[in-house]
Amino acid sequence: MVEANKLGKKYMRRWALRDVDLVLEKGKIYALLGPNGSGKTTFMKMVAGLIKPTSGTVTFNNGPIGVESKKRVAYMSTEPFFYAYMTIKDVGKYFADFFEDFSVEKYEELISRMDLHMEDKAKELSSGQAAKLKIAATMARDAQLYMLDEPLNGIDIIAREQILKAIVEVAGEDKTLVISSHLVDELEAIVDSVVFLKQGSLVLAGDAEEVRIERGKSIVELYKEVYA
Amino acid sequence: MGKLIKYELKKQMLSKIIVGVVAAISQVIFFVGLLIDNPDWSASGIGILSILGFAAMFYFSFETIVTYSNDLKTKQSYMLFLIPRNMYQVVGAKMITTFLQILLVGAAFVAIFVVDVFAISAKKGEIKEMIEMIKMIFEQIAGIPLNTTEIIYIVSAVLVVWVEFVLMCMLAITLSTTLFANKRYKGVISFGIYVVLQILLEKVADYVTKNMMSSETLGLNADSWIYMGIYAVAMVLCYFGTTWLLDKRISV
Repeated sequence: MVEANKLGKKYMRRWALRDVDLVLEKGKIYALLGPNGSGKTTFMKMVAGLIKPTSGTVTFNNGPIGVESKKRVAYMSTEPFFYAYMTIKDVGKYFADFFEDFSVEKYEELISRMDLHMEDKAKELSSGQAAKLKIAATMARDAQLYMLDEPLNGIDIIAREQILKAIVEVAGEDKTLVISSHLVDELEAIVDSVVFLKQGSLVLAGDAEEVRIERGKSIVELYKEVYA
Repeated sequence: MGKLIKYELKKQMLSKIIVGVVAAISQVIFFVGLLIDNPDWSASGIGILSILGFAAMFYFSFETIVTYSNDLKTKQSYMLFLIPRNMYQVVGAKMITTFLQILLVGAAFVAIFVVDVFAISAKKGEIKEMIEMIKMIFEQIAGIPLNTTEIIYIVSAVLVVWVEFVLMCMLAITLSTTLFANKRYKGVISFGIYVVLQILLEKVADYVTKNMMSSETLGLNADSWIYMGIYAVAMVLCYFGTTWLLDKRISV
């Protein structure tokens, strides 16, 4: 589904991502792991078409990143990005206007389940509520690839459960999910594969269960080992 | 592209509502003055309306440029760069929105002005004199006798020069974002790039009208039309330049 070959991004003199070779397969849930500055967001933004690579290539369904890939890829950034004038209802209308795979019914259902109100202004929401809004807008799409950048950041434990539930619900044979997070223990239970990035380079990637058996450690323990 | 234009207009809706409210207040002042035979009130109403018309056109263009800058430098950029639309549509929507704003705001203020003139005429019964007086004022401002061709030229020139100005500013902002992505003072750099581009455009326009095509070779007033044509070409080049940079170079 996604294939990166020697993918790199350089900002001034610093490589944010360097020589990354990675294949993301259909129907899997990936945990994209690494501390701040490891290149997780840069990788996701390149697949989403927000950042142009400095070197190497990245393709989606064997085609370039562009208008066609954006129809099938749902990216959720860490930061809120909606226009200042928008209410939660406006956000839904915007997504419905531009994404053919967006379901207004599903969006309304997710908004209701997450205790949000359609009339509330997006810019006036708390960080937890804003995270829920981003998740609802992203998961209401029937995309082929979902990329969620730190979806659990700054979220209380109750809201975390709601968000994880919404994420897991969309998983299926034809869907691929990539989730980046520092909260490795929360992700370990739901992911099929893991990708470890360190200082812009790929240090470990593979099936989560195989990695556990091969290394004799849980993903949390491996995370501590790689980044300690 | 219609949906993109809709959201471009929505982003700048607040300023339009404010202008609409102030225009409505100026009209109330004008009509109250007319009804109670107080020329000071009527003149104040017309005065506010005239200043507001020019100020609104300037402000809306400025706001379009600021909105574009925010579309590149803030996270709001994701709203445009994540959607499945090519950059020709995105920039095209901004160009058409600018064009529509100038056209509609201009038309709205002219329409209000005409209504006011007819209201005065209905009250005073001097419509012919009023129209002659307005024509005389416009001729003095424009410095030329007004006929249909001149009116078409003035309206076209205002539209072309204004849209070219906004697009050149957008190109300057895009260039500075591409070349100096992580630098401070990007705004100052953008302004510098704009000034350089505008000076180059003026030089080209002067060169063409003086050495290649002029009123002497093409007939009376040809200079003005050639000048406008050069600005129209610059407008198109700015559109393609901005789009190419956004498509191939910009990371947000």
